[in-house]
Amino acid sequence: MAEKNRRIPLSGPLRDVGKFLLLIGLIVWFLARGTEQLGYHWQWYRVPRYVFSIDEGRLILGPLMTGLKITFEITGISLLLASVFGIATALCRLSGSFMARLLARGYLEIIRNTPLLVQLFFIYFVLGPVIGLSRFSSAVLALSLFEGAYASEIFRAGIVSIHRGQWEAAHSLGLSLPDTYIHIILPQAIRQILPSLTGQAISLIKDSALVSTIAIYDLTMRGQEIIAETFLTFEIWFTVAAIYLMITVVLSVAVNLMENHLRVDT
Amino acid sequence: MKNTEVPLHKNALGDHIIHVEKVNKIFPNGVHALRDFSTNIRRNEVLVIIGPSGSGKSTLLRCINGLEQIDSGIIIVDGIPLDDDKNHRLEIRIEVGMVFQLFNLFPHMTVLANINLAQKRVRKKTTAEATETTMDLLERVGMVDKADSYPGQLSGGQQQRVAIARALAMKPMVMLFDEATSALDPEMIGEVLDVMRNLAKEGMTMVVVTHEMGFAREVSDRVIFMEDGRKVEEAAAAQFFTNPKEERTQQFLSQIL
Ligand SMILES: Nc1ncnc2c1ncn2[C@@H]1O[C@H](COP(=O)(O)OP(=O)(O)OP(=O)(O)O)[C@@H](O)[C@H]1O
Ligand SMILES: [Mg+2]
Repeated sequence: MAEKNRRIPLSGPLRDVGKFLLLIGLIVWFLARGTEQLGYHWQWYRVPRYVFSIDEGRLILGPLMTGLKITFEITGISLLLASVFGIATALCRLSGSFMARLLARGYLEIIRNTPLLVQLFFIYFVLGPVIGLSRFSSAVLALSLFEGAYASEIFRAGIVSIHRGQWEAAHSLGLSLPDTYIHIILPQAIRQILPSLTGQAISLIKDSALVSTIAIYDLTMRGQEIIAETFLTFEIWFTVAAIYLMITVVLSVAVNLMENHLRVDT
Repeated sequence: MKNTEVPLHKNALGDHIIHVEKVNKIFPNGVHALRDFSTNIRRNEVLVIIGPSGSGKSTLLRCINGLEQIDSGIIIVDGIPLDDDKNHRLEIRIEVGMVFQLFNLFPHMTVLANINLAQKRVRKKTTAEATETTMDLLERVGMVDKADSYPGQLSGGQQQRVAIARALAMKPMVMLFDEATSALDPEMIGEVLDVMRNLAKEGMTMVVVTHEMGFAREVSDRVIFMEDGRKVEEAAAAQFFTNPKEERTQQFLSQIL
């Protein structure tokens, strides 16, 4: 603990990012050599216009950027919902009610033992028409149910890691169960599980690429579309991958900074 | 002709604020931690409980404020029976303050927020009202300058004084102390005992589990010696320390004094 505190806040994530970029560089170099032998004709100059272009001094977002916007919308809303599902499920699993525990357990087992793609198709093609879900809502629901199940395990671990004395102090002060969770247990639990939660958020961003399978024009779908038109296979996939990478790296660095800020001495 | 009726429970309780009758507590692992334990605690009294490790002192305190469920017997706090009624249990845990060996402050909140929280959420005070009470209490325990510190920035003795202030902020009728100084470095024990001593002087009803015999002698009105979940001896403080009746008590006192 003490050692961790002494660490210069930025060195950790920055070093990781550095190593990571080096690795990416190597991979790109290898691929470049490989494709050269394939006789692949690189046309990077054709790529920027799909990201953004400037027309009469105005910035115009290309298809990749409009796709990114959809990706952000889907992951943003799913992230919120997944947290709600995650916390609610964790509380159910820890509650005294047998029904609540059973329900939570059933949800977890179903989600964790079937592929996300199947869940997405089930919600969009089966549930969607029945209860009237749009493409977008189906995607959000599938993603948040999926990530929520995994997040709930993280929340549960965080909650049970809080010392019994905290519960007892809250009890003897007369605090209600909801107040105890909201003001005492969850704030401490969330600080502890922030790294795992970030990992889950990163999974969510990556998993969101699957929504392209139900024809939602997210970043991945836009990439596919451009490739179909232009045959810039390597350039576009590299660009798409780099964009995902940038988002997830920025997210982890941001959370890391936040963590340092939130760290409590005990 | 005349109404001679006296409310029965009032009569039975007299000026007793806590009534404990034939309480049994058996833990799921089979440990029989309290055996037919009975006692009465009077208003403004300081009752000290001593006994060897594992004798059930903590369990008794935890049963009184509802942290543990009793298996049989009766506990009544200020006329409220500690039964299955949720409202009764809630009222009792609000009216009974508890100070723990390990302080149990909320580490993510400042001292001020620690003491304000339950006043606001349970007593429904505004932040301004709560803060006023809190600052008064911090004054009493000598911690005003630490209102904005986090528990992790305080010494053990300071943390325990804050924990006492936090319990007092609920204006409890009774305060339970479970080895409040056992986790402290020797040089910090005095400052916490001072706070407890002042409370006793002010007439707070206190049940104190402690190994500090000097302190026990000085502040207690009555002492209970327990062993194996049983009450071995109960006596007025002066008599208990100078002339204990039971052989087992004499033995224990001679070891510890
Ligand atoms: N949660 C529990 N589950 C099972 N057994 C318990 C539990 N809490 C206490 N006990 C047992 O009950 C008995 C009484 O414990 P208690 O903590 O009340 O003793 P104590 O007098 O406070 O001892 P100490 O001076 O060591 O604090 C002990 O044998 C203990 O092991
Ligand atoms: Mg104890």
